[in-house]
Amino acid sequence: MNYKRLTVITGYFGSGKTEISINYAIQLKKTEDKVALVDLDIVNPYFRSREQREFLRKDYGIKVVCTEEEYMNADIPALSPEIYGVLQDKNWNTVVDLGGDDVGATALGMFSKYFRDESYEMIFVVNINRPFTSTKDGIIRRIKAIERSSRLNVTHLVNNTHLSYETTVDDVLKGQMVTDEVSRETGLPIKFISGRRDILEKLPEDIEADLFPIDLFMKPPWR
Amino acid sequence: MARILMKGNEALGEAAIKAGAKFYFGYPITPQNEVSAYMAERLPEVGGVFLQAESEVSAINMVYGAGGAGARVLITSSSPGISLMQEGISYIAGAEIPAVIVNVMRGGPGLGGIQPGQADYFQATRGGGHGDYFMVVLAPESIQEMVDIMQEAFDIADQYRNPVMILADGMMGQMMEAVDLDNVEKSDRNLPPKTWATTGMAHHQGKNIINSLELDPAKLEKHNLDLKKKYDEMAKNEVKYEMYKCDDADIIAVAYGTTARIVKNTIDMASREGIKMGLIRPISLWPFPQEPFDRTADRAKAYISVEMSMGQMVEDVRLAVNGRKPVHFYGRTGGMIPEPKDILAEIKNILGGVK
Repeated sequence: MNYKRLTVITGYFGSGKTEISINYAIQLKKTEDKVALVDLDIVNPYFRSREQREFLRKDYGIKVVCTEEEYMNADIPALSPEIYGVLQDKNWNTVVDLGGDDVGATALGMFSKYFRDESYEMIFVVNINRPFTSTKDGIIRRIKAIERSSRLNVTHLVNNTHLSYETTVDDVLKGQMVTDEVSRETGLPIKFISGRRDILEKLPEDIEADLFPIDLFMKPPWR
Repeated sequence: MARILMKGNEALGEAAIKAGAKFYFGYPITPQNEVSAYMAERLPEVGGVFLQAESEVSAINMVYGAGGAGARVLITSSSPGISLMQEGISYIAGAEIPAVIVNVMRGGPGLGGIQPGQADYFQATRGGGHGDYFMVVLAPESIQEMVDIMQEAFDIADQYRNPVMILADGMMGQMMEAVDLDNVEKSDRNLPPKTWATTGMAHHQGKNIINSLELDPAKLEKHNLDLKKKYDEMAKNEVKYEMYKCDDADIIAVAYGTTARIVKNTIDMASREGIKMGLIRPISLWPFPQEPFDRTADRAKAYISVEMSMGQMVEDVRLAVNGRKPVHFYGRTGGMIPEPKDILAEIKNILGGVK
């Protein structure tokens, strides 16, 4: 997999960007020594990558940079000063989980200068089964909104179309058609199709895209 | 439209629009802010009004106004915000105004925290505000059920001219599930025309006045007796519940909302170990279902109420079981969520003691 030192994963809530961020960091850790996952989600109160920080540190040696533990549920948009470290120190390979649509993307704006100094990848995650991103135009509108508030440019698309635990191969294929349309209109390449392993295995072999199977971490308490 | 993926809070908003709600008033509080965000974007598209009030107190009084004018109106908040609304809710009940109120509960008491809770059960089912009043309280366990229940809630509110509460919790509000919003079953209730609505003299004969003030005690008592008749009708007609694997169960758990989902998972674990466990899931918390207890009290050895509270619904379970079998309790609170393995350990404990 090609990657840059700095990767931002963005998209509207329900796109699956947190799952992809975690899986992406785990993938990077296979080849890189120092991998950090920055939880920049200042919007969502539940299902955030910071909930996996202990597990990711112990089992994978990934550093999760998030609001300090005592403030984790403080319901304020607090960011950790450690973020500057993993963005500036070129020894770190850093994945930013940018939560909560264009409002959430505002949080990245203050760090945008570190991204202008070197090339980065900013991946927009598409799920066409969500109300506001079901069409090409809806998706492009959201990409532009996120670019405006983060002051960065989206560089890649990912098709992660899903319906939570009820996803079918058909969902992924429909998502791919729409993501293709977005790609043709914007010129943004599709980095990969992501989804649960058992679903991606069932995709037709002639599909023209890299596949990125993911394991799920953000589960409701009865799963 | 096919099924789509929605966050519980968004689904609440869209379901209310589908049920004909044109007005939404609210004030931000986690974990239900997505309702406001969603309604701010969607209501103008359907010719409705979204208004963020300056506090929960004013928001609930806007509901009084819109509902009093005969419109379908939704309001949502989370525990501390719902507490602030209690005066208004009592006025709405006293003035007999239909409205749907959603409480996406978080851990308390006081400001508490932002993680899910079920500790507002007493407040919801016992009136909450002052005076003799009740409202139907409905507790969905999935996003789809939350959508279906919203239509029902508006119908119940209109049928009885009474507020209806949907009692969800932070997990229901924040989680995402596939939903079908287009095939929600419409009820066959015969809803009375809103001849009482304050729509102006052009629309009806004589004055329509909506008020909860009555200084003549004899008249106020009469009003309370009339309300009581209405509450008796609601108690008779609006009971809803699910019985899950109760038929040959030795122990029956009682749980609602998120906790019911966790208990269903526990039942599967239990059955793998040869333990016969069932679930009574009240969908209406008020009126609390009596029948499933009457149907199981002979066979079951014990009941256990599982809640995200220090033990509230367990009192209704005790009333329903009425001494026929032991009633136990297991709860986590403050935003902590019960885990299946811990519930199962408690079940084994109880069954060990019964034998």
